[in-house]
Amino acid sequence: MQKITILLFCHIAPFCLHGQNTSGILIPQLPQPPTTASMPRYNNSFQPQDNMAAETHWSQSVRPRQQILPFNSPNADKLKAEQDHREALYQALEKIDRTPVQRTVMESNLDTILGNAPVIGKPQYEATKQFWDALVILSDMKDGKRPFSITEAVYTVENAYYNNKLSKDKFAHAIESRAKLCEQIIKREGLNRDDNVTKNYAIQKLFQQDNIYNDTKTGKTIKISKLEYDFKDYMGDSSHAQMFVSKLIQTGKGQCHSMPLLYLAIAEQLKASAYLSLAPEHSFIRFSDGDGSFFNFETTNGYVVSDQWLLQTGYITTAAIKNKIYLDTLSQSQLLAMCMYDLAMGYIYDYGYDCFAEIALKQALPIDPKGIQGQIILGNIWAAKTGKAVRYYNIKTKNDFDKNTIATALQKRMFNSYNIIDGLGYQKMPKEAYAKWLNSVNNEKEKQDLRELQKQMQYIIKNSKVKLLSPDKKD
Amino acid sequence: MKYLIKGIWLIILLLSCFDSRSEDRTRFSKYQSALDSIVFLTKENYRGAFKKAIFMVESTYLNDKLDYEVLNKKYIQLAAMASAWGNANRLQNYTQADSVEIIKNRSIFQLIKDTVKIQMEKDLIASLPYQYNFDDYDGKKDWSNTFVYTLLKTGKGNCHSLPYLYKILADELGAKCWLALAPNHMYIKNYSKRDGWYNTELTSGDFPIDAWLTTTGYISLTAIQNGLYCDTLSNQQSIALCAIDLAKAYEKETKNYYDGFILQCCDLVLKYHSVNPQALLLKAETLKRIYQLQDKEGDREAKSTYNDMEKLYVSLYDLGYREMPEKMYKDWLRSLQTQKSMYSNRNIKK
Repeated sequence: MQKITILLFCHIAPFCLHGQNTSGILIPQLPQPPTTASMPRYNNSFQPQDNMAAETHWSQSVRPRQQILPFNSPNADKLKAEQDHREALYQALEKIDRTPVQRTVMESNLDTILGNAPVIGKPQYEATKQFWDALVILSDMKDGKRPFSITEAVYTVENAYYNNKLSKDKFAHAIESRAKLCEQIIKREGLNRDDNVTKNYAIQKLFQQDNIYNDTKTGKTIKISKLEYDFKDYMGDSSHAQMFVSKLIQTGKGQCHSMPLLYLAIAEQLKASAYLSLAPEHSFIRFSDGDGSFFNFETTNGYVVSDQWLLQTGYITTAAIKNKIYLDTLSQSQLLAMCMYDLAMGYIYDYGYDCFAEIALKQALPIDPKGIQGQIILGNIWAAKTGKAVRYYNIKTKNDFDKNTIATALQKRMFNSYNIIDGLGYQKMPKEAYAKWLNSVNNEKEKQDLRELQKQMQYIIKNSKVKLLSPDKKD
Repeated sequence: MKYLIKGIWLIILLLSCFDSRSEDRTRFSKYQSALDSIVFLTKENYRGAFKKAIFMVESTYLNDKLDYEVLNKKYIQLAAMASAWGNANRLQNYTQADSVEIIKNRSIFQLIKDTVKIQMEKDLIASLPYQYNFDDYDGKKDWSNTFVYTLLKTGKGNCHSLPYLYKILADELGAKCWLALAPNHMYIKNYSKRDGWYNTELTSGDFPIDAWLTTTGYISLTAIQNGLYCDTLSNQQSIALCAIDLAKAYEKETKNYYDGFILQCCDLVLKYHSVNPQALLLKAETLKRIYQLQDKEGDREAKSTYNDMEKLYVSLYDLGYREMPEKMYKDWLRSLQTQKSMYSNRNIKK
């Protein structure tokens, strides 16, 4: 078993779960709630509940607010009944596990042992209503009840974390005006407005240099400074909002999560085609050169980079490439699933692992079964549940643990989940290696390669310009 | 008198023609029966079928001079030595459940790349490490240099025979390992619960990380995504792979591309491993030669042959195949020595 430290995608370092071997039992450490300093907007009463008996069952619907069950205080009879119920469920589940596999691994992993249809306390639900609402919006997009828009999806995720206090108009305006700026750049340089590479080129200008924006309403010119990489806290250690697009818009500084998302939002406005692509602890942009192959754009330094540069991290295994968890272009539904993971991560950052993350995964994983981020959250959920069971049954020794059928079954699920993550080819990348790799773009040899790619792109743009001017293209 | 001599010459000429044809025919049937055996072994697909398939190829090329029993005894002997080494050397710092698997693989690696001494009741038996044949690493001078038989005989092998020997010994010991392909190259993939997938590279005796393969620039991203390279071969696919060796042996011996034998071999491999780059390439190149001949002779089927060939080349390109120049290949192999710190997997050596 590869020791998995679950580190998601540029942030959430505070939630690393280690399989720790104390007194011979493999029990994961429970996620620590964030320090109050890092979450000023919420008061402290909404910590993850430790006492499982005090929790109420919910149906597994995404719209729990319509199905709130009466919240009862626990009593001895109820506890006993609940435990019996769980034992019965556990036995039934074991039987299912032994029958020849008909269900996919993922389904069986999402099944909840303990009769623990995800549980949550009522006050907890009311305090986190904005997250549930956001999940409804995202799952509506998934079901086609609402058109998909990356701008709206990102806004929804961030607004939920900001407790519905993020202005939608301002957010949309910020992106629209940047899209307009891109159009102005294309016009100013006399390029082909309909060419996809050109559109991407214009968006990339925002990441490469300061630009002048002509405000058509007021007639003024405004200098828009380039979008910069936030070297101070690129992992989002100080606050979860550190990796938000809204933070990037506000401060002009972002990191490898927010910058590609902003790129996609602008591309959506411009009707340009560009894709998000993942690397260990990293994301970047891939766009088609119109001839079957792809360019990679590294938003954090503004360079078009080669596949080889990305592979040089040394932490991308061939299994990961084969399984397409890294360096592949994300489809629309995968992108939506990623927004759901982000939403879940925001929730987890403030409230820990309870039913919200699980229900969000129920929505996201079916449309993105190989989503490494989702699989890691799933692994964490099982780890957290195992930890909960250990505390609930007051397990002290390895012997007790082995005897406790529920705790061992949960642990089995956890290992199962870790095996899936390993099988996908995931490898943890140390933070130092990450920083070193990002800086390697400044090497002389790399610079030469980058210039070569830049030339290739310029060539495509130039050719597309010629096409526009050719006589048969006249309007 | 003059006419008589001329007549005798003519008869001798005719006879020799007839002779060479019958020689061709026996050669063909010899190879055909070897291919039939490989087809059978691939279908049966049991552990240990791989060594038989290899024997079929090598023995056919060397005109049935090999004795299977002798070779098999040697394999068993080597496997016994490896397992004795495994029993004497326990793993340290490894606590996962699959440690038996790991020690088996480690002992095979040790046997191939290092000196192993075993104390029998009275005698001390030693096995010396197998070496990389730098003189003739791709069998250009003598095709049999790529054979496992030659490896056992001379102690020198290449990136073809060394992984094959590894797989044979792993089959003997019941250890899990997978062959994996790279451009002009073959290596071993292993799985450990602690470290996930890792590579065993026998030409240099190292455990390189995947970046060694992926950053060369000659394995494209699409090639890996499509499973053309760096993917694990199943036991069945490994056995079928021997048909490619047989086809290449046939090519070396007869230079006959036109009787359909090589195409038969390629089709067998592609049946079990539809994206095998070697089979796709060999098939495309053979079709090219057939087309050239048909075109010259004005054959009607030339066009359809051309279409088949073109389809193959296009699909190879789409799958991400790119040719790797020879110098590049040598530099790349050497990079594992020169840039050891960069590409070595430090976890595995612990």
